[in-house]
Amino acid sequence: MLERKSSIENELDIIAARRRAKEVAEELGFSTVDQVRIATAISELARNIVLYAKEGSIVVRALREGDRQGLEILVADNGPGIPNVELAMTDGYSTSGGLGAGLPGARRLMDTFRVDTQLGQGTKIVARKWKA
Amino acid sequence: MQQQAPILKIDDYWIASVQGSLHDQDVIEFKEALLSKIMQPESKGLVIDLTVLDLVDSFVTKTLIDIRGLAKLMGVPVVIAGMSPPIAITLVEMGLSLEGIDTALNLQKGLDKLRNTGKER
Amino acid sequence: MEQEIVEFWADARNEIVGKCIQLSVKDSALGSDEWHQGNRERVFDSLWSVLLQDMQDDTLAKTEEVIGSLAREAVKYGRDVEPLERIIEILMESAEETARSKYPEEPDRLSRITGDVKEYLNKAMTVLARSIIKAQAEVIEKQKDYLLELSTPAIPLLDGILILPLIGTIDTRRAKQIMDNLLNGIVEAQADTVLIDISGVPIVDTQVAHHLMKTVQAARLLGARCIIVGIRPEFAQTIVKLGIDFGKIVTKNSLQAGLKLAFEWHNYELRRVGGGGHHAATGANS
Repeated sequence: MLERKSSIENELDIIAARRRAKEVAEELGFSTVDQVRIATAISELARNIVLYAKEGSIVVRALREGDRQGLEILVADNGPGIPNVELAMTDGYSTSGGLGAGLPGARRLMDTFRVDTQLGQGTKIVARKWKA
Repeated sequence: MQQQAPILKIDDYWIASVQGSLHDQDVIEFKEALLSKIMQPESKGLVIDLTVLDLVDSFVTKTLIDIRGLAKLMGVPVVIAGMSPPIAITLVEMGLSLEGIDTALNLQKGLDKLRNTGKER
Repeated sequence: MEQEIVEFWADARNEIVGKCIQLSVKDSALGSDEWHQGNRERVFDSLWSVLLQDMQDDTLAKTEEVIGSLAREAVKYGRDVEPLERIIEILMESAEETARSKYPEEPDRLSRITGDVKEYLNKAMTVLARSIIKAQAEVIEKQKDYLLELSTPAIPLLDGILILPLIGTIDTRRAKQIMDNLLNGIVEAQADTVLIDISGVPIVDTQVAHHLMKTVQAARLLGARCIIVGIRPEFAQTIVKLGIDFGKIVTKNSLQAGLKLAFEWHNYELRRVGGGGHHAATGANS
């Protein structure tokens, strides 16, 4: 199965990660719009790592469930964790001076989105997109 | 940087074409370069052409909103031109509709828009 | 699979395929041109050989593949699927006949082998039925997409003006298609103004209103302004009741009023030229 991993340590890695994600999405036959959706979600998730956790990793891989084909994004970091996930998923909430569209935006671009976070331990995010 | 986002001047209108993939640092430098240009007193307007940009995330969106806000303070109208359908769909789905920012289908139409607002004033 | 049937099947290639060809020539269901001699032999031979492989491996994988592709091809080109059923039936008849002539003195062996042959080819028949249903479902799904595209045309009216007449129910899937079509239409025609006529949409609920908003916002990001026309009183009430902010969206109560506004934006003027147009025409007819 197709799988690409990017370690995220600085903003240069953001570009590399989203380029890889786009390649995987293209290879899996996602539409141009979906490729942009996926790459943009990766951009938001990777920037969150750089902003809050300093370092982490993003894995993008092919997904198959019966007849359905899709793509899965796995984000992992050992950062401070998210104190209030619900708040962080709210539009316009930001502790970095951004638009507060990162997490909620990425969630809307994907079909499923699960955040698993523990204070002081880190954050794991699993997001999936199915082919239309 | 200069190659990725050249800033040109036609009559007294500034034209900036953003190309390819921009790093966050590039985006910040681009914003500063733009602001220093449009601060020049003869500036009549600014078109930011996104035709060949690969994606617009919340960081780029914030930068565009910032540029437009600062330009407005200086009395310089801004038009965003040439956004592609996939980027527009993605932004709207994220809830980033760039409310209040002027848009145009292409560079030429963006310039026309600026010239028309100039006439009205 | 039992060694016995595998051996029988492997040894009897010529007899089985030969009988198949004989039977198929006489068969009225297989009478059409595409079943000429060479084709018959190729089809029966390939079925015989995938069945042999599957019998050896005790599976049905290769048979499924071959039968699946035959079914898909038939359905894709709108051909009758009955010949495919006949092919399997003929294969069964031929194999049984061959077994009977091969083991006339061994009734036990014969019944074991014909039993196995039946079992295998009945499974193949099930596979065929399933493949046909699946292939037909795929075709219907494709036609649905095609209809969706057909049903949401963005029509270039004049230089810079597009009309998008929406007709029928709008669900999420169709809403996405409409957005895609419209945005591509805008770029293609380099249109600055879009008239969206929703008078043909029977039910406009929150979902539809939401999709409309998103479509208008995305069009604006490209640089095109939308005018929504044909809003019926019920929909207007829905919007107000649900508290949806349509404030930034330009609306007009009729297509005519929308057109008039679009013309204004584009500095077009609609004017009748010459003596009396409509009246003159009726005068000439009477």
